[in-house]
Amino acid sequence: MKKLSILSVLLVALSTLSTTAFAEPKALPAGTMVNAVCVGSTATVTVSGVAVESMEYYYYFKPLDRVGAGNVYSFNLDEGRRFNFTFAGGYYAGLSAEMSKRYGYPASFLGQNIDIDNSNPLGAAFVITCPSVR
Amino acid sequence: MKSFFALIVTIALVLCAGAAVASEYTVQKGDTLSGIAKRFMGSASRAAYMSLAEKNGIENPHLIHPGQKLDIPEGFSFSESYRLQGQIGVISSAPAKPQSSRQSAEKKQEGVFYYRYPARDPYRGTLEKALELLGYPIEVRKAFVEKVRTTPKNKIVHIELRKGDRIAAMTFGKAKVKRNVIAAWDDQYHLYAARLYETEFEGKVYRLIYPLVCGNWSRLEERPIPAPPEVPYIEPPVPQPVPTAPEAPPYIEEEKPCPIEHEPIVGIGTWGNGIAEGDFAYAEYMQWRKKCLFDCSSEYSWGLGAYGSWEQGESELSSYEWDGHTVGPQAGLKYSGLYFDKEDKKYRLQQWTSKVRLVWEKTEGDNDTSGYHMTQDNLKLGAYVEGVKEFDDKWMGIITAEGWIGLDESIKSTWSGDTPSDRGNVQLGVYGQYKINEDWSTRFGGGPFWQQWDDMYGMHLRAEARWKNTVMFGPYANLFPFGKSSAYKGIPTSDLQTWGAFARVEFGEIIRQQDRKIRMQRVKAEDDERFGVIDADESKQL
Repeated sequence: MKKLSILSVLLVALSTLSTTAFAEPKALPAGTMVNAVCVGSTATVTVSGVAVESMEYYYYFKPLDRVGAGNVYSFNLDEGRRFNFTFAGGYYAGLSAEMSKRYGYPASFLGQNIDIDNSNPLGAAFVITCPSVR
Repeated sequence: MKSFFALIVTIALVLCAGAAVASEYTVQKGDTLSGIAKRFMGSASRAAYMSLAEKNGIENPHLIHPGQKLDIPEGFSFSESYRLQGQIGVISSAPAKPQSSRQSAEKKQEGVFYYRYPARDPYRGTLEKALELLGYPIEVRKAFVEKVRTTPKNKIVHIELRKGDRIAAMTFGKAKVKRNVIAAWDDQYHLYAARLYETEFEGKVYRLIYPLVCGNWSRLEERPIPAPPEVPYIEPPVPQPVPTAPEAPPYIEEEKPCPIEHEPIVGIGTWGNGIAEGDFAYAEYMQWRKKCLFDCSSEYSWGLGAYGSWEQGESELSSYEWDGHTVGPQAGLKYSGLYFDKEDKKYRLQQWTSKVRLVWEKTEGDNDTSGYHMTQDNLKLGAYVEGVKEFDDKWMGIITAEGWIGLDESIKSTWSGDTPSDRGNVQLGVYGQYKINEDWSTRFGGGPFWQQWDDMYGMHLRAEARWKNTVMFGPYANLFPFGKSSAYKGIPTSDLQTWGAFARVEFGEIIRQQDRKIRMQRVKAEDDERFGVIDADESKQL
């Protein structure tokens, strides 16, 4: 009986395993444009057509950095050149092919010196394509 | 009666008008594209209704609406994708006029078999025999046998046979073959579907068909391997990004779809109360295969590893001492991901880990004064569950549940009345974790527990300092506010309160950081090569 009660407690504990569904990334509004202007190893990224709520900068050798709302951001290319941002309710910019198909928009938001990097199968990011300076 | 004949004539005229060339048709309720194709084009085949769909710009041939106007092709026009190249199946732009049997007879050629009655004499032999009868080279026969047997049904290409098509050879009955066959059934609108198999050999494309209506394996004339068409230069497509995983920043978390995560943990501790004191140590290792339990984009991991522990203790009331150890395999399941914090509009960590352990435990006890000695063996099954949720930038909550149950036990003792003690226990815990700074955090909390060998219920409390989520240490206590069991008759409950200290090192974070550093060095090198590195002087000139 005691064994059974132990087992019951374990089963109850195991049954509490649950997951929360992720929030979806969201398609960028039509007219959004992301540009970068590079001077030396400093890239100034401008996002227009959408109100950016937060910017995430993915460094090479540091944990990611979250920067607050704005439309102009500065990046050091020696530290990293990838980023993504959230807008309108915390949604991440929809960079996926699946989403672009669903919402019927091409990657028209990619401006000067900006591309999408999809080499990581688990996620895409904007990438600044300027050369770095040593 | 006259009116009846008039009705018949009218219906016939209407039907004839429909069966002839209709230039436009208005879709009625209940119509289907294949039905319209059958009615106006003489065939309900896919090729026919797709031709109709193509002509009318219908993307989904299964979706038409009442009132929709359809242009009916004059005759039967296949798009390129449905046209069979070669001697067979080249469809004229308009149906041939029906010929009388006399006209047909006048055009009969010597040495040609006119195939008038499909399905009258189906082939009844084996495929290998049919291929032999049809005269294919041995290599081609082998290739066809392989293709026929392995091509999935949904991958089989179908063609359509119609009146006038030429077939090089056709099998009949058990082992008959006719050469120079011409499809010569009366109805020029009647198409018969056939499976098509092709294989290349010595510069030619060999073709084998299997008409579904009759099963007469047939050989079509070979044709030369077509030269690759000249393809105009097209800009390479822009690489399509994969779905963004909002919770997994690119490069930061993972590089490969199924990375392996190593998680070794070692710990030591000491404890004491009014009746005994002791020390313990444990070690475990898990190898987590991330993201690959259900598919490689999920947030689950499964793991395999080993668990072992050691303990020793001595009684304060007698000369009794004991030591024991456990060792065995463990398997685990882990969910690790982020949830969206709507208040702070941030993604935050949440993780569930569960482990199941099967261990063999050996305990030895000695009393030098009395000469008592015992050895006990236990087979134990254990489970451990841990849930972690980040509440905000500083606080995190953790719940744990751990339990062991004895499956089998035996004892060898100098005392004949000795029985093995039950080794089960259950412990629940609720903890809060506060982040002090980037390096340090603290975790504290506790919960109820029950241990089977002395049937005691208690509360455990723990406080730990955590350095870089790698080194953890702190005090702990096991208290018994619910009283004591009969096992401790005569001993004050206060003597059972246990105080201890522990230290633990979890190497997983160090290994993850080192792996990440190596990965990111490679990413940076690839970036430098991809985007270029220019000298500062050169940059100024630019």
